[in-house]
Amino acid sequence: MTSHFNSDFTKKARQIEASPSDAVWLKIENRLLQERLEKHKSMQRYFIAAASFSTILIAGFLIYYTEIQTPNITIAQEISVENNSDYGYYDLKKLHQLSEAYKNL
Amino acid sequence: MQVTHPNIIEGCKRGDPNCQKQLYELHKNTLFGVCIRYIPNHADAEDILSEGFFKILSKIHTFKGDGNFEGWMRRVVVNECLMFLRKSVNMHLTLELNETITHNFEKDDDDVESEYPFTIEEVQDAIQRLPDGYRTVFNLYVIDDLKHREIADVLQISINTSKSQLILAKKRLREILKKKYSFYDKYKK
Repeated sequence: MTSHFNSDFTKKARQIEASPSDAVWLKIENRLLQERLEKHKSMQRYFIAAASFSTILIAGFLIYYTEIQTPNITIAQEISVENNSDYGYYDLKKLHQLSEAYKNL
Repeated sequence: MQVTHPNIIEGCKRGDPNCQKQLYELHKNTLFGVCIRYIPNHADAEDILSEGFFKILSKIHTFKGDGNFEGWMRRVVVNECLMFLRKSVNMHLTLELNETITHNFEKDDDDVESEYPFTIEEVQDAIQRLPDGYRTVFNLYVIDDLKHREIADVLQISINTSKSQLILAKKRLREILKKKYSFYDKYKK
């Protein structure tokens, strides 16, 4: 059917050109800029999320070592005193020496 | 349509603003011509061109270079026009095919072209005077070489409706052009 209809007409229709106003390119440019800005923003959001996550992780480790690990060390020291380890024995010995000194006064 | 230098395409793929501008300058008139063929309203056609060209630039990395780049750009813009028409215009695609009309119309198609060399502006004017439905099917079938099956898919209509719209579009075009002929004839005399 195409070949029947006016090959010259069709040829000319394919050659139709018109010039758009300058506003069209400005719109396109604006959209491109917006797109770049969006990409930049999403990258920023990604970095902020990563930074927040690592901060929380570090804070978690710090809390773990200061609040949970430290009392264990104290308990270990107390146990060592009770078991007459060097540290505990030394203290008891010192106390004994002090009480003897008081008696002699 | 002018051939695009591969360096410009590569530049656009990298997102180089200078290449993007060069590409636009090179093809703006042809692509706007396509928009005007489908949508006669200048403001709407400009909106479609800006939307279509933005899509071209943001999807240019999907063009692998195995086909015609200009044809690919034209298809993007035509799709944009069709989306606009589907969204905002009632195309009145309701008439069904009448075989007799087809036969008669095909017979006297050639009468139109032989004697009168129309200018591109006159051709554009004649196409723009068609109703939306006629114009869309005529553009897709005659100028952009789609088949009725493809048109039916794209416009979500039946194949027969596409055929009937084409017949009626041609009929209307002949009427429009005949008026111009009579003007030419009077002028000759």
